[in-house]
Order: sequence, then C-alpha cells, then structure tokens
Amino acid sequence: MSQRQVLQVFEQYQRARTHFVQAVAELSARPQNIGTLRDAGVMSLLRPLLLDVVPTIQQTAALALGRLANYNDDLAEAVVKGDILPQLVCSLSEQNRFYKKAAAFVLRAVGKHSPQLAQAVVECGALEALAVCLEDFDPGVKEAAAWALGYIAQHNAELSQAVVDAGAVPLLVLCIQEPEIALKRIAASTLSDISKHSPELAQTVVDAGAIAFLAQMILNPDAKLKRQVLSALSQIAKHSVDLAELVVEAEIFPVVLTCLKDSDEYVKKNGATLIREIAKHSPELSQFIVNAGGVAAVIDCIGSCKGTVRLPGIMMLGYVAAHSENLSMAVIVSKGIPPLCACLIEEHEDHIKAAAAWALGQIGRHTPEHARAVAVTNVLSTLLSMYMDIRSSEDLQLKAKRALKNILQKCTDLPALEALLHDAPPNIMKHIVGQFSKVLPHDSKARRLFVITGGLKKVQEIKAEPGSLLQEYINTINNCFPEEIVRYYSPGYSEMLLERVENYQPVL
Amino acid sequence: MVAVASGGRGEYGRARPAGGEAVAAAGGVFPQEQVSMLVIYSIQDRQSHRKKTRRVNLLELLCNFLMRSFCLCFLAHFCTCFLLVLPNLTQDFDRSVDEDRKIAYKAAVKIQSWFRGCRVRAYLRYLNKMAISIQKWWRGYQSRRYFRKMIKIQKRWRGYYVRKYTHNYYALKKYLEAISLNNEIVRNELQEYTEMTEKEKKKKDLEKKEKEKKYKARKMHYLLSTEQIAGIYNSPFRKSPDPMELLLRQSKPLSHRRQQVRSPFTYELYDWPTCKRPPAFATGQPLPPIGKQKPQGPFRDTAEVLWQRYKPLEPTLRVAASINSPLEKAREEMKREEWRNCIHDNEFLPFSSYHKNEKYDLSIHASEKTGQETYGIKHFREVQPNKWIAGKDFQTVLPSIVLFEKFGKTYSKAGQIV
Repeated sequence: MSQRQVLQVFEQYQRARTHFVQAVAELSARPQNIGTLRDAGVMSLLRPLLLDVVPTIQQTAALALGRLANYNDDLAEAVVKGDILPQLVCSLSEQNRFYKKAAAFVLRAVGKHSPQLAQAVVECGALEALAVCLEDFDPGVKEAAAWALGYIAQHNAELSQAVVDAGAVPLLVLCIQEPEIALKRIAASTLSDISKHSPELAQTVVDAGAIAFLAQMILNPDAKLKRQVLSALSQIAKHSVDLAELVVEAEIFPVVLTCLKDSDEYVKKNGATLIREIAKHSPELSQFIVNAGGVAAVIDCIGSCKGTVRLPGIMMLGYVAAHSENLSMAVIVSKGIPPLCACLIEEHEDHIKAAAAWALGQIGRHTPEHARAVAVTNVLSTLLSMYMDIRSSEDLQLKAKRALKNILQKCTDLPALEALLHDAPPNIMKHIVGQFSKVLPHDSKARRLFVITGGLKKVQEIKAEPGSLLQEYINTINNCFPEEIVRYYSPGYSEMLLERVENYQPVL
Repeated sequence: MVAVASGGRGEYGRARPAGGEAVAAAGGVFPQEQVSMLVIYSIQDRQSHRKKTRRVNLLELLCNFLMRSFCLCFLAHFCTCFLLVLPNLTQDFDRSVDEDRKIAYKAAVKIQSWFRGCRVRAYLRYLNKMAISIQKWWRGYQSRRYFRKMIKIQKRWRGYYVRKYTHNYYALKKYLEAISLNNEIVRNELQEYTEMTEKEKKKKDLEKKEKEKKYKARKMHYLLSTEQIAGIYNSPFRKSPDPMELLLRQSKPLSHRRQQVRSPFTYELYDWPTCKRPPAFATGQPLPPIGKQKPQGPFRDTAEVLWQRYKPLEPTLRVAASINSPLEKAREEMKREEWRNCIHDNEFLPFSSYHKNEKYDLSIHASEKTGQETYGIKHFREVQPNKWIAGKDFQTVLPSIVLFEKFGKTYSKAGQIV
C-alpha cells in the first residue's frame, strides 16, 4: 500500500511536470504571453527540465525554450547566459530525433538575432554537432540542422567561414538532392546565405558541385523552392566573371526566362536578380543574354509587376545598355523604353525612380540615335522635373541630373530640346543651348522652327556671364540669325522702340 | 687681372697702389670674390715672377675664365682699360719696357684673337642653327606633302574596312532585326507557358471543387428526393431539377465509418520546424469516444433493429428443395436438351407431297399494316360490337383502390425528364 502511495507521489510529480512543460510550450507559441512568461522566470524553471529523466519532458522543454528564444533577442541572450547551449550541443549527438529537432530549433532561434549571439552558438561547438545532424536519416532533423546553419551563416563572412570549415557544404549539397521539398528549400537557402559574403565562399560552394543541382531545381513547380534556388544562384554569380560564367554554363538560360513569368512575385524578382548579376560583369555575358531573348522577358516582367519587384529588372536593363551601343540599341529595339518611362512616372519609391532614371541615362548616352529614341517618349521633361523637385531624395536628383546630362549631350532632336528650354536650371541649360548651337548653324528649317516656337526668345532671355561657355553658345546661336530678329527678340526691345519714338523728331 | 699679375713683379710697396688701382678699377667691373681669387693668384705669382710660361698659362686660364663668366662687351671694356692702364705700370720697372710691351702686346693679340674667334664661332653657330631650321622645315614640308598623298589612300581603305567589318551598318541592322524576331518568339513561348500553367492551375482548382462537391453529396445523401416527397433540390416549381439533385442521385451514401486516426507523425515533417502544432508524441491507442446521447423515447436498440432489418432469408427445406422429384427433373432436362439441339424445324414426313399445298405464311412486316400495333396501346381486348347486348359499359360495383387511382397523377409532369 505504502509503496503504491509512494509511487503515486512520483507519478503526480511527473504528471505535473509534463503538464507544466506542455502548457508553457503552448503558451510560448503566442507572442502576447511571452512577456508574462519571462517575468514569471520561465527560463530558470525550464533549464533543469532539459535534464529531466522523461524524454518527452526534455523535448517539450527544449521546444518551449526554442519558441521563447525565437521571439526576441533578450530572451535569446538569457538562453546563452544561462549556459544552456553546451548542454544542448552535447545531447544533440546522443538523443533521439525529436530531441535533435528541438535542440536544433533552439540553436536556430538563438543564432538568428545577431552576429554576437551566433558567435556564442559557434563557440559552444554547435557547428560540428549540426554537421553531424545533417547526415541523419530523418529529413526533419536534417531540415532543422540546415536551417540553424543557415541562420548562423547569414550574418557575416567569418561565421560563414566557420560553417564551411565544419564541413557543412558537401552535406548541404547532398541535402539538396533529397526528395523532400522542405529540405530542399532550406538547404538551398543555406547555400545562398553562405555564398553571399565573399567570392571564396562562393567558390567553395561551387566546388562542391552545387550549381548543377541548383540549375536542375529551377524546373521544380514549387514556388518557394524556386525562390531560394534563384537566390542561391544569384549570390554565387554576383562575385566575379568566372563564377557568372560557371552559372551560365550550367545551361540555365532559356529556362530561367520561364521563372520571369511565374505567378509568384518573389520568384520573378529573384529571377530578374539572377539575370542582372550575370549581365553586369561583362559585355560578352550581356550579349549572350540578349541573344537568348532575356531582354524581352525582363521587359515583360517589368511591365507586369509593381513596386520593388521591378527593381532588379530595371537595373539589369541599365547594365546591359551600359556596356556598348549595340547592346543599348538592342534594348531599344526590344521596346525597353516605354516600361522604364512608366516606372519613372508611376512608382512612389525614390530608389526605384532613381534606378529607372539611371537606366534611361545609360540607354541614351551613346549616340544621337539612342538619345532620340529616349527623347521621343517625352521622358526628359519628367527627368527634369524630378531633378528640380525638392522632395526628391539626393540620390534621385543626382541620378536624374546625370542621366539628363548624358542624354542631352548627344541629343539632336530639337522638339524635345525645346520642351526643356523653358524651365531648365542653368547647369542643364548649358547643355541644351550647346546642342542648339551645334545643330542650328546647319539646318535652316530648324532655325525657322526655332524662331516660331519661341526658342529664340527664350535664349535671349537667358542671362549668362560673359566669357562662360553658355555665353559662347548663345553667341553662336545669335550668329545664325539676322540681326534684326535677334534684336527684336531681345528683352526690352519694346521699351527701346518706345524710347526711340519719344526721341524722334518728326519730319515736318 | 693681368694688371694685378704684372703688378706683382715689381716692388711690393709700389706695386700695391698700382695693383690696388687696377684692382679698384677691376673691382668696379667684376664681382668681389673673383677679384679676391685673382689677388691670391697674384700673390702666389710674386715668388715665381720669372716663369713666363706660368704667367702665360695663367693668362690663358684667366681668359678662359673670363670667357665663361662674362659678356664679351665687358671683356672688350676691360681690354681697353687694360691697355690704358698698362703703360703706367711698366714705367716703374727696371727691366726693358720693350720686353714687357712685347709680352703685353702678344697677350693682347692673344686675347683679341680669342675673342674674335669666339665671336666668329658664335656667328657660325647661329648660321648653322638657322640653316638647320630651314632645312628642317623644308624636309617636313616635303614629307607632309608625300604623307598627304599617302593619307588619301589610307583614308579610303580605313573607311571601307570600318564600314564593312567593324561598324557594319547592315550587319547591325540584320542583327537587330534578328533580335526582335527572337524576342517575339521568346515572348510567344513564354506566353504559351504561362497560359499552360494557368490552365493547369484552373484544372486543379476545378477538380478540387468537384471532389468537394461529390463528398458533400455523399454526406448529405438523405436530401435526395423520393417518389412521394420532393427533395429540397427538386422543387416542383422548377423546370428541371437542380444539378445537386442529379449529383445526389448518382452518389453512393457515405457509410458511418469512424474516421481513421491520423498518425501523429504525418504533419510533423511539415510543421515541426515552424513548431506551429504541438508535438503529438505517440500515446498509444486513442481512447474510445464518450457515450453518445441515446435518443429519447421507447425505441429499440438500433443494433437490434438493424440486425432484424438486414436478416438474410432463411428458406424452409420445402422451399429450398424443388417440388418435382429427381425423375421429373431429369425428364425436363432431356426435353430441354432436345429443344436446344433441334436445328431443323420441319418434321421429317413420310410423303413427299405433303409440303406441296402448304399455305405460305406472311412475315410480320408484310402481314400487318404499317405503323404501330394498336393492340396494347389503344385497346387491350378484341371488340366485336355486333355481339353486344346492351350499349352501356360495365358498371363498377366495388370501389376502386384510392391509392391506385392516383397512379401517374400525383406529380406534375415536371417530374419526368423530357
């Protein structure tokens, strides 16, 4: 009897512990309870439960800790300070798969907040244990371990290097080949986080043979997987020409263009980012992309999206056009300018507008043909208004000004120039007047039009310092016209005439 | 300087003022340090005044020095000063004046010749330079003329080459056209791809909806309409039944099976990393459901009722066994077999002329009139009005069964599908 009673006491205690730990785990799933839990001192209570005899209590305690640490970095720091991590790391190698999953979850939750916390995780020797977990049979364990490694590696290059040194990369490449979609996603995202910091890390990832598998997975119908794969490829390709060429050699090219037509916005964005990173390195790569029809696909993509999703596409067009005038003409022929103008007008964010302005500048700066193609869309007045607008950010103003200057220096399209003549500031006016002074001496019809449209009048009204470049241009223009008309349009002519009338002695 | 040097030959006391004079005269012309250098030379020379070569050498040195440092006019001025000064100096000496004069004259000649030589050389150099510059210009002009001739050919060649290969306008145009064509193709293909994916997605959605509908129909099979009572989907005011009604008719009722217990590990793989669901650790068999509420009233137990309703038939031995004895059965069997195997219908008859007078039977199609047979549709019995006794129809004595009267008249024609 008494034995039974004794055992009952123990049973009660166990039941109480189980109940407590499960309740805490459930409560910590909701963010509003976490403050109260923390104030109630949940950390110190959960810590001994991690060493409990009953495995379910251990696992639930680990799960609860993970959820708490996930919520904000104070709690994560408390976990670190409470010396919980070494314990977790030790048991990571011994316990069953549920515990491994829970422990990996805690490590991930701690490591995601800041580089210092991730460093603390690394110092406990977690990386080797996680790398061992990557070889486990259970896909859930692999996923949890890969996710933890990804969050540690995302902060900076040293942590990434530490992850690579633990031998994680070949195992991650193996994980990518597994059939479970979630595991593939996480492995791809971890590879992306590792390779984004430096070319050497990217080279390590490439050496493990990741590119071929990533390229195959572009065809997978799952949208989130495609996001991660495209992001990983673009992080690899962005560092150098050789890496970009390696990525291109994996035959992604017509396939990637289908990603630009996906229904998921971020797949489109990451696809455009990948193409941009490849195109920006060299004219040959841009040429290759143009030949594969990439420009058309990107232009359609820009036309169909809104917001920051468009940004990589816009930058890609700018990079392609910047390399050479033939490529720029290819962009124009692919009807690239109307979407860019639409972007410039419709978008609200200044950085997207700045990118569109920059891209237009790159397209239009090569030859008068290019400048005309840009100018006929009446985008120059939009650029000017953006430059003059005080509410635009400095970056936008600078880019708009540069784009205007570059285009104007080659623009011979007089109607477009005239539109700008009326409200341009002096530094832009210099270029406009300069262009007029180059064109007008040779074209009589243009001179006539210039007078009719009031351009001559406007030029007379410009005040320039004598001896400056602007004055020289004005003089050149004035020399193209007969003197009477120049005098007629000069300001104050009517007063002068009236004065002459006053001073005239009538002939009687 | 020569004056100073010669001043060193005489007495120290007398030489000095003259030397000083010369030095003063010279000092006005020449810078002070050079004068002091020369004074040092002259003091040294006093000890060796007999060494003419040394004096001449010193003279040469001095002349060189002069030439390097000063202008020719100064030198000329100095020479004239010297010539004026010299006679005064030689008067004080004991030696023959003539000797001194000769020496001085030679020295003067030397200096002058040197000076003239320098002047001529300078002039020659100047002439040389002028000649060189003219020749230079002339040669340049010649080669430029030649070069202009060469340029004309090179110009043509370079223009041709650049236009043909480097900036080939036509090749560029073709390239751009090819690019636009390619773009069109790519755009079309991508469009097709999008359409295809959209169609597939729509199809999937439709299939899912269909599946849901079918499941619902199976679950709510009791809403099916019966002969007497129209179901809610088969309202008499409608022209045709609702599609749901048709679905209900086609579907099999869902049996009341208890839903399978899903393994607690199935959603772990998906949800565990996000830890949205609490872990359902294996707890063994699920507990049985808590007792359902029994329906109120004097009802029999449902299990009993079902047992009774679906009791299989238990025929008695009499029913199960046949009436006829096995003998009868065998006879029947034989007869059946015979009939089955008989192919030829006409009996074998002994006399050959039996069949000659047979009346030919018309086939049904030939014997009947065209159109439908009226028997069975328009009338059921043969009517022979000439045998009728009375002109009235039969009278009904017993009342007909009410329910049978309603046959075919309860529902509107709407119940029948056109």
